[in-house]
Amino acid sequence: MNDGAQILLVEDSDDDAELTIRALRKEKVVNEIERVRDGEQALDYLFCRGAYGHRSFADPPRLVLLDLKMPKVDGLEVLASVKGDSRTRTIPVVIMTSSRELPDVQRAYELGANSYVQKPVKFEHFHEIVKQLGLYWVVVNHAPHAPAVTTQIVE
Amino acid sequence: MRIAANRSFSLAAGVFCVALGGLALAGWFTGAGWLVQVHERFQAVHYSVAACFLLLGLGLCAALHQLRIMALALASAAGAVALLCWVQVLLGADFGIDRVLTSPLPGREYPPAMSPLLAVTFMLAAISLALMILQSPVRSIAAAIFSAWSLLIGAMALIIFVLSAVVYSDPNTRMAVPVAAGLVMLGAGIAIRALQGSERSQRVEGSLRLRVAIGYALALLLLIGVALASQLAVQRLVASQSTVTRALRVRAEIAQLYSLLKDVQRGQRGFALTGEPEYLQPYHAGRRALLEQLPLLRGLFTNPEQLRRFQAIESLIERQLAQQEKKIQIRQAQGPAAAREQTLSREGERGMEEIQRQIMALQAAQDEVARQRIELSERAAFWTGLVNVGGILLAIAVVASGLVVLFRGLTARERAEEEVRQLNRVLTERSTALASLNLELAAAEEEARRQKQLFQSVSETASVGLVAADENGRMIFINEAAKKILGRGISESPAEEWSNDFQVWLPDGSAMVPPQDLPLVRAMRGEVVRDVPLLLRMPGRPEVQIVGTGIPLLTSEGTLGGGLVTFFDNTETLEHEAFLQQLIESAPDAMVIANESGVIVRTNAQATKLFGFEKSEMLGQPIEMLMPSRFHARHEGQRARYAGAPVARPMGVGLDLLGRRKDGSEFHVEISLAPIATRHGTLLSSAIRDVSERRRAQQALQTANQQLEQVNAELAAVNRELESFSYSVSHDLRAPLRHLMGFSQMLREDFGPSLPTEVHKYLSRIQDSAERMGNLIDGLLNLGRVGRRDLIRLPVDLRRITNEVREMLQSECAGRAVDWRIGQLPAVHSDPALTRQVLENLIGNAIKYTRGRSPAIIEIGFASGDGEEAIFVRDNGVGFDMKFSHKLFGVFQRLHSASEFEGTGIGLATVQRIVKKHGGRVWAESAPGAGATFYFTLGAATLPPLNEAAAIPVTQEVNQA
Repeated sequence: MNDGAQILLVEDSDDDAELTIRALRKEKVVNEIERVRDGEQALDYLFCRGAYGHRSFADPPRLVLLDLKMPKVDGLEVLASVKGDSRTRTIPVVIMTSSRELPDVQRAYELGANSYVQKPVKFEHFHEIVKQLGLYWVVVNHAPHAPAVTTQIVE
Repeated sequence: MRIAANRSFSLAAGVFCVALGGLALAGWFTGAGWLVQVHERFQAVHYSVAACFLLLGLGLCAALHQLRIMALALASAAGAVALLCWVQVLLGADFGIDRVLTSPLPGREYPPAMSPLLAVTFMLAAISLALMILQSPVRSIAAAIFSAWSLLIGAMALIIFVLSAVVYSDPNTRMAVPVAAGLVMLGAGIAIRALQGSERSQRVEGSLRLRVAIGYALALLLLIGVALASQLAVQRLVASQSTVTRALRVRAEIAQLYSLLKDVQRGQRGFALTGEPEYLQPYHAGRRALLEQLPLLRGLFTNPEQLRRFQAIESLIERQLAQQEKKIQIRQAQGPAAAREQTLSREGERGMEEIQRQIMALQAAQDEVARQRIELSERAAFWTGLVNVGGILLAIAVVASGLVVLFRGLTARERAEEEVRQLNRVLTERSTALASLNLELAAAEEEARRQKQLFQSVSETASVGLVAADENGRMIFINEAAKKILGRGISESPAEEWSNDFQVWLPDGSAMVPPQDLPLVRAMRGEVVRDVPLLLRMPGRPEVQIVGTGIPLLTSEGTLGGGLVTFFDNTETLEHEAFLQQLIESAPDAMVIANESGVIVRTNAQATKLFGFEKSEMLGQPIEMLMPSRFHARHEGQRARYAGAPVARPMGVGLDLLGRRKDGSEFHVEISLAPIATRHGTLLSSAIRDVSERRRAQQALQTANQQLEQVNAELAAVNRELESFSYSVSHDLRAPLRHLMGFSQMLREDFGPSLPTEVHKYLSRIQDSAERMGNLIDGLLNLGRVGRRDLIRLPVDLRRITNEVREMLQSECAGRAVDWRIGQLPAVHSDPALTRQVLENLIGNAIKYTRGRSPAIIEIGFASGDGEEAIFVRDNGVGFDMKFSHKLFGVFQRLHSASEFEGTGIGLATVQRIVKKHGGRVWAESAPGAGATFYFTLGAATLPPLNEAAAIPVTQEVNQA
């Protein structure tokens, strides 16, 4: 039914990406995860261009997990583009980053981030946070113009 | 009322026509001949005529009921039928319209087609009805024509019928009586309705209608009279003709009488002579006829003279007959001889001659009678014709004159309406003209009144004194203001006394003004003098400075008629002038006031001191004289611009302004500019101050400031570097730790069961180290942040924060007995989040270092210690040696090993940084094993204890220490 991913993970670090995907898969929150390595790819995906030219705006991801510190286009720039365009404005974007420097938090919320989460060092915490995020945004939250979710929840 | 009555009549006429046409048509359809031909003397009603009556009658009724479309259709249909009939007769053709409705009644002669006269009449009726329905303006005229026409035709038909004359026996003009009646009704009905007209011209029309009605009535009466007269005339004609006939018959009878008598005579003679009986037969027959004839003839006489003559003849005849009878008897009885004798006696002859003579006379008389009667009859016939023709002509004349009256009435109505309109127009125009004339007059009066009032108001309310004198040197007018200024009223004295009377002096008070120099006196001589300053020194009053202006007064012929002087009290102005100069002199700065052209008009003693010029040297000179010549051109331009938009401001902001002294030396000045609006234009006031000394001091200060700014900039750069360092640390140092922990956890989870116990242990060590490293980084970052962030001071409820911190750290006390003693705490004015960090660190330490104590006692309160009132956190933990207390608050400094008590060595460093940032102090008292007490103050922000209600709840997020 939904050929796009339910979660778009924007993460330059392979290690973080693996940890995140593992957490999401392990808890069976969601299976369809698309991971991109930088801001440019993320924008291509979200705006259905370049390598993702076949995608459609009618089929947005239910959640974007966005790292801030990335090569080429950083997370805040991606956020600004997504929230500044009427076609993508409604996609929930959660900033997930190592930093919790105040200016970043402030800036992210100003640009319209839906949530700001610091990646904890401790794996259990990290695991828990990723799980909760997935559960909340993909399952609990009612997204605009998104298809119904059929993912099984195992708690 | 009248309209309603008229309407009823029209309706009745319509209904009559409908009934007439309808019944006739019904007769045609059903074959009831008596409906078609009511009386044998009447013509049969042709059914196209009946149809026209029906249609027109219905149309009239419909029009009266405002069914306009229907009425119009009915009128058009009637008109069409009439037109077709007319065309048919004109062309001699047969369109067959007569057979459309029905076929001729059995046994009845097919009626002739509708006569052209009738067809034209019906067309007229249809047209006038249509015009009436359409409310056409010519409807009255059409109706009048039609009604006159129909009345004429109808009335004539009726007359003709009454007379039974054969004048109009032409089949094309014959008309049935009901048709004639119907025409009269229809004409009257339409005419009355159409003549009703509009209410507008009701008045003109009323009399017109009356006249028309009277005309109609007269015409009708006349026509009836004519008809009766005709009838009488005809009767007389008939009667006279019958007398003529009778007279002629009498003559013939008489002639026959004589011949019969002769027959009898001959028969008797023959018998007497011959004795032949055949002679007796004519004798008896003649005798018998005579005896029958006589009484008959006698009854024919009406003339008594003739009757008498006849009776005489009758008796002669009877005697003659008796003689002859006797002779007959003699012949029979005595024989022929006696008879011959008898006959020869000639007696019979004589009798006959007598009779003949008598009859001749009678006949002659009768001839005379007949002749007279014929004459009479001819006269009667002539009069009958005259009456008929005259009556008809009269009727035509009446109808025609009625038409003329009607037309004239209508024309008069139109003319009257036009006249009324014309009159209204003229009236409107005149009213308008009159109204505007009135307005102008009123305006002129108002203007004059206003002028007068204005002069009174002006002269009485003017603050300017007005004094006028006539050409004879007599003072004639003085207003209130003048009395007030002069201190007295009109002087009766001659002009030579006026200087003395009013005590007019020269402005400097040196002498009285010569009377001939007074402005009023000069004005009386025809001069115009302006703004002459004078001094009034009336005894007992303060001196008054005045300024006077005199103008000559001219008479309407243009000759000199005296003079007028106006003057005002100038004392205050002069006082103001003096006050102003004093004010300027009292200013601490050099004041230079220039006019719009940049010419110095006022200056003060300070200016003299500053620039070295005397006052007299500066006044009247361009202001540029006070500045170095190289600035002159530029300043003139700026001065012009400033004059365009003058506001008070410092001059040449940000520029070095230089002044020039008389000796040519230059010095730094500061100038404040202010515009002063006067009636002579805007003056520019400059307050000038020598700022050479101040500038030197400023320059020194500026240099110092620049150096300071440089240092600040360097510091800011360092801060920025530090910030980006923190940022990198935050990101880049934490990530590897997270990976380290994450992957070792994955190792455990994915391969846990197959790994030896040792590996688990090592993995735990790796994870612990990584976690410690994470905590260390967080702590360092927090420390850095505390240093960089700005303080936000708010009222803080320490007790609440303390309780919250206790709650937060509850997990650390799990399974331990802790005795919490929280005493009175002051209200403080501090950064809530940082204050909370201090308590977190101190209480966290207390919990950590009392590990192993049971119960652990942790006391938080407010007390004096080390000569200062401070908040403290006390525990009964392991304590420390005071000789290391100087290391206590250093970064990474620890007094216990990590295996003994875990820690980063950053917490107390953070506490000290926060406290110092508040301007406070932190210190500790302890001894090994005797617990420790940490005191801190928050600078001037520490306040006396306050109740909880007044405190602001602190809910901000607090960083982990």
